[in-house]
Amino acid sequence: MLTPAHNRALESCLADIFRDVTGDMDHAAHVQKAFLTVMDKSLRILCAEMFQWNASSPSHRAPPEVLAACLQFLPFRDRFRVSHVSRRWRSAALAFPALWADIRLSAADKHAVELMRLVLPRTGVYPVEFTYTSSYTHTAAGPLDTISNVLCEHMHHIRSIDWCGSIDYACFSRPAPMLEAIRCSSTVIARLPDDLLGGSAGRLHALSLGYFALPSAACPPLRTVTHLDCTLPGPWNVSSSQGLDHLFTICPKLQSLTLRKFRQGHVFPTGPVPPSLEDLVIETTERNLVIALDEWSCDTIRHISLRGLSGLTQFNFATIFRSGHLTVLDVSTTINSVLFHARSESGYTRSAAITVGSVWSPELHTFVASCVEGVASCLESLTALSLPYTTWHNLVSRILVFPSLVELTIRIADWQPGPGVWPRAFDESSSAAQTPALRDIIVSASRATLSHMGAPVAIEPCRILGYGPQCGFENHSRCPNITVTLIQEE
Amino acid sequence: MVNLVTSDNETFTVDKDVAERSVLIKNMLEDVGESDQPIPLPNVSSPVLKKVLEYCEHHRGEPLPAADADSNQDETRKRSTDISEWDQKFITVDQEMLFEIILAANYLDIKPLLDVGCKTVANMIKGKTPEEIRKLFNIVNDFTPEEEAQIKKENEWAEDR
Repeated sequence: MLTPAHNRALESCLADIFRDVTGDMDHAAHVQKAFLTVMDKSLRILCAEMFQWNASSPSHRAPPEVLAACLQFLPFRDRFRVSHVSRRWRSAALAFPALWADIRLSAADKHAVELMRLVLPRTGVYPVEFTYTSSYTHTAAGPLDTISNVLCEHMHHIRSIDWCGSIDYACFSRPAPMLEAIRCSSTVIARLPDDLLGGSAGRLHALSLGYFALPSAACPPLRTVTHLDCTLPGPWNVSSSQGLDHLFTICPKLQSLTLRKFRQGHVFPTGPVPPSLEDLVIETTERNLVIALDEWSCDTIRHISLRGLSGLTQFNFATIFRSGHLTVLDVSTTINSVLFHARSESGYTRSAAITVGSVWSPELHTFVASCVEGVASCLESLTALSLPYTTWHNLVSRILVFPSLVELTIRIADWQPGPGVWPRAFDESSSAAQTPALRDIIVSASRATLSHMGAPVAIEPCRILGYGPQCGFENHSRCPNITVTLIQEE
Repeated sequence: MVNLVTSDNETFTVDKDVAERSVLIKNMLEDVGESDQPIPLPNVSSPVLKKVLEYCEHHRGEPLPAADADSNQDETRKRSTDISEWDQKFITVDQEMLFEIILAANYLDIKPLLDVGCKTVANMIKGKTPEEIRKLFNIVNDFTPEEEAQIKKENEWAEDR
C-alpha cells in the first residue's frame, strides 16, 4: 500500500519531529508523554484527512438538512447507529432535534435512563413524544422512578407520554404546557394526581387511561380534554369510580368518550353529556345502561357503540337504536361476534358488537333474530336491512312489521342452510302487509351455495323469503324485484 | 409549455402542469406571469432533470401535498417507508444519481419525490451497523479518539437490550 518513497518520507518526517521534540529531554516520562502527543497529533491529522476523503461520497455532498430528511424515516434505534457512521453524519443527526424527539424505550433497554439523558438534551425545546413499555413478563420493572425524574426535567417540552405497564407517575404532577396526549396503562390500580400537570390548564386533549382512577376534584388540565378512553379498574376497589360520577363536569369539552370494563358497581357519570360529545363507546359485560343513557339524553350523540356479551342486549338495544332517525341496519357475524350497525341519512350511527361463543350454534341464530326484532321494533324509519340468511330464517316466524322497509339484503354463506330447511314466510298470507313498502330483495350468495340449494338461482331466493311461487306468491298483489348477487364466499 | 434550462445549458420543454409539480417552478411562473422566458435551473444537470421530469410526468394530475399539512400527518408520513411499485422502479439508480435526485427534489421543492428518495436511503440503512453503513456509502470512520470513546459508550447503551 505504501510505496518505498512513502515509507522513507514518513519515517524521515516522524523521526525528525520526534528527535526535535525529545532532543533536550532527559527524563523517560517526558519522552513517553512526547511520544503520545506525536501519536495523538498524527492520528488527528489522519482523521482530518479521512474527513476530507469522505467528502467525495455522494451522501457527504448532501447538505445536512437533506441527510436529516433521509434519517427522519428511520426507527429510533437506527438513528443512534447513523450518528456513529462518520463525523459528517453525526453532526447532521445531532443538528436536528426532531430526529431525537420520538423516544421509544422499554424495560428491555438496560440503559434506558442513560439513553434518555443522552437523547432528551438533543431535542432542545422540540416537542417530544415519549413511549416507555414495561414488559409484563420482564422480571426487572426498570428504574421507573429515575425515568420519571429524568422526564420531570423535560416536561416543559413533552408532547405525548405513552407509558404502559409498571409506572411511576410523579412526572404527571409537573406543569407540561405542550403536553397534548397521555396514554397510560398501569399494572396496578393507580390514580391521576389531584395536582395533575401542576394544576395548570394547557393543551392536553387526549387521555387514555388503563386502570387509572380520575382525580377526585375538578382539575384544570382535564377541562381541555376532548378524547377520553378509560379502562376502568374493578368496582371492588374503593377508588375505582372516583371522578367518574362528575366526569362530564371535570371534562366539559369531551368529543369522544370510551368506557371499557364498565361493570355493575361502577358509578355512572352524572348527565347530561356535554353538547360537544359526538362519539360514545361503552364496553360492558352486564350493565343495564338504559337509565344512564336516558339521563344523558344520548339521542343527541352522533355515534354510539356498545361492546359486550350477549346479556348486554336485552336492556340496551332498544334505547341505543331508537335515536338518530336510523334508516339502514346491517347485521353481520364474525367468527365469535355479532355486529349490528345502523346509520341515518344525516350521518348518525349506532352499533353494537356482541361477543358470542360460536356463530355456528343454532341458539345463536334465535338470539340474533331476537336482537334484530328488538332493534327493528323501534326502527319504523328503517328503509334498508341487510342480514345473514340464518337470522332471516329465525325472523320470519315472528310477528314483525317493517313499515318503511324498501330494500332487504340477505347474505347466504356456504355453510347455510342445507336442503329441506327453508323457512316459512313471514306469514304467507300477509307478507305484503308486514313489508308494505318492500321494493327490492337482494340475495347475496355464491353460485355454489345457490346450486346446492337445489333450485334455480332466480326462483329459490323467492321461496326462501316467502315470496316464491311455492309459498303462494301468486296471491300477492305486489312482487318485489329480486336480484341475486353472486359473491365469492371466504 | 414551459422551457427549463439546466446547469449544462440544455433546454427541456415540458407541459406547464408537469413543470408545476415543482413548487419552486410554480412560484417562479406565478411571479413572472405569462411569458416565454426560459426558467434557469442552475443547480440541476440535464441527466438529473430528465429523471425528475420522468417522475413529474408520471405523477401529473395527482393532488399536491398541502403546504400547511398538520404535524400529525407529518408524523404518520415519517413512520412509513413504503414506496409504490412504480416509484421503486423509478428510483432504482446508482447511489450518485439517487443523491442527485434527492438534491434536485429538495432544490425544486418536489416533496413527494424528496420523500421517495429519502425513504430509499432510509430503507438502505435500516437495521445496518455503522460499519455496514460505511461500507454501503463508501465512507471511512473519521472520528477522533474522543469522539470514538463517546460513540462506543452510546453504542453500548443503545444496543444492550
